[in-house]
Amino acid sequence: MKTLKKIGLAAILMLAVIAKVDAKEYEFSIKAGFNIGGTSPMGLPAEIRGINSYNPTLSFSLEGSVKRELTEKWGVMTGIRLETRAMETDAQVKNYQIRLLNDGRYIEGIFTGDVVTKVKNDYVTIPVLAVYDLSKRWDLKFGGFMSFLTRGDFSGTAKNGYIREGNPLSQKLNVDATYDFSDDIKKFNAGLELGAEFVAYKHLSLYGDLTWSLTPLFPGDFTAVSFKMYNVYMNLGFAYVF
Amino acid sequence: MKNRWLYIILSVFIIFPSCIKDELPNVEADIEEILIPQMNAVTSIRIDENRATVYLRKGMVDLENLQPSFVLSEGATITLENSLLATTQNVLRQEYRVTSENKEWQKFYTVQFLELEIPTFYDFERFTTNKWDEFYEQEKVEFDIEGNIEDTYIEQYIWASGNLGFSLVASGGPKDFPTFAEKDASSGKGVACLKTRGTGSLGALQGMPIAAGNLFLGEFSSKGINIMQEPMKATHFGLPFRKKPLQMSVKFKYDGSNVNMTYDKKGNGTVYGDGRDYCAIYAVLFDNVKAQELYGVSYLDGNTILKEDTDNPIIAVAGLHEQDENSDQYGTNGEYKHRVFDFKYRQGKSLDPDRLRNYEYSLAIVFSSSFYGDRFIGGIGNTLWIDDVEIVCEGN
Repeated sequence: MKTLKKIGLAAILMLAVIAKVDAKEYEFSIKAGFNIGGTSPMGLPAEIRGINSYNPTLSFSLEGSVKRELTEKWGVMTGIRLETRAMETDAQVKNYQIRLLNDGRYIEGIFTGDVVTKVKNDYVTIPVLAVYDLSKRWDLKFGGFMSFLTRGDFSGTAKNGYIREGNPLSQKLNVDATYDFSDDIKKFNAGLELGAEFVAYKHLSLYGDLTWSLTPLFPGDFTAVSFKMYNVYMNLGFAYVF
Repeated sequence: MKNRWLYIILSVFIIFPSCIKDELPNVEADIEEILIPQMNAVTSIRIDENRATVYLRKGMVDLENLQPSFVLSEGATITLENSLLATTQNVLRQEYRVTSENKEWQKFYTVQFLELEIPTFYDFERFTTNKWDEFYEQEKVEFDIEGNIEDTYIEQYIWASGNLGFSLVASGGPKDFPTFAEKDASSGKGVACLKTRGTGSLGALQGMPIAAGNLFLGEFSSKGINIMQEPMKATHFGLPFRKKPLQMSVKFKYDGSNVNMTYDKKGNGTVYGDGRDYCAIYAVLFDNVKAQELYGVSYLDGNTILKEDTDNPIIAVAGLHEQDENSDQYGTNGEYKHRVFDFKYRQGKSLDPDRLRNYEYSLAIVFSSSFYGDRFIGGIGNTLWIDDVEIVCEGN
């Protein structure tokens, strides 16, 4: 997956080079920003009883994009974005289905206590967007994105609590255990993207794009966590327009 | 513009906690505590997965009219399904059904209230097997069942082992555990078999490279502790004892031929001491009131069972390792040995007969296939077979 990242970076640089050649019909830009959001079930399940803490962590994005004007008002935009979608949460859970690695042995069962989750996923993303020129300074964008995972990390600890292996009738076991589902993360992630761009200066604009994935983070046969999780992140930053 | 987006994002995450849904009805159905009006009559309580035993002082509780109450898992309910009182009025056996708050899970408990003292002879003939073997003692009682007097045996689960701890790092059938029941090939009699097991590379990584077979009077409990982090606290040694013990008589066989080792986190072993492993066979009489004062609990645990400091609750010890002739502890050449050990009183310690009658002393009996197994030092494969143990007491 490292090569994918390299190809992505090369493509961004290439876009910048092309930008110099033909800047009339196509509008090229390079964007730098950060992601803030969550990898979370849609609507918190009842097993989650509280959020002790949430940290969006520093997760950057770098994008090269190209826009083509089709009419005076409408255009299309695509590009390549290297991005990290990350967060850290500490949630209080009750009777939460999970598979833990407790001192060398996997225990799958229901856990009551605190679950700390660290997510840090690197993606190469290709957005395909329609652009509507609202005014001289404002562009609205909507469409979809496809993301390819280059490095995944979904891990954490279960602490201050107990697990019952299998079903609720088995014995309480106080655990301080870890879990790591990094290898189970799906390589492909896709969903909707919508955003807005504000042209602040001739070459500089600010943008905000919401990416809302429609494909879950884990495959359908993944049972270690009993509900589906989705990436929902806001990508904020500025763009240099050639 | 950017600020406005930030506000929107921030408000989403401020709203997040308020999206917490209503709590689901609980799925748990445990008896967590048993209470009776005269709690000072209770000498010990042990609550296992599907059974509980409450030992009571003699003559303080009217078992016929006993109204126990229970602390259950949140929201759970309990119903009494059956209740039998022995004709001798000293044993009350009740069957309970505990239903979880969401009504989907049920757990059945046999709860015994016993005005009995623990037996003093143990032959390890009786055990039940769930995930592993558990030994019990039995007592013959008469129940009056709708006018018919029926003889029956009630089970006393007074023995415990560390098999639960082993189950956290390894898996296998009941006979793969460190402590299990076996038939002696020559006599056909049941014996307790204790074997020091390896726990594999993952067990080693956790600093638990081996698990010695162990068997003791008391309870192995994970309540309030993380077994993996504080294994020494899980072994609750000792039960209240009202007789003056004089000797411990044991029939045993030991194979200690495997080299005594200590292990690093990678599972690499180095020879420990002189390389000879030895078994643990001992009984400790201790002052449970003093234990309560010193340690906050009325039992001894892995850290306190053989303490040598000046201020401790230990009164007397009878054990193989304390004998002048103790070569048997390294191995018995494939033969059963019958040995009798005197209870040796610790310096300055004696028994107060009044306090003895008042349940203020407890007896712990401990067996292990590797003496330092609790510190994860031992020879993998070393095996101790235990049979016919008796605590010889004054006046019997």
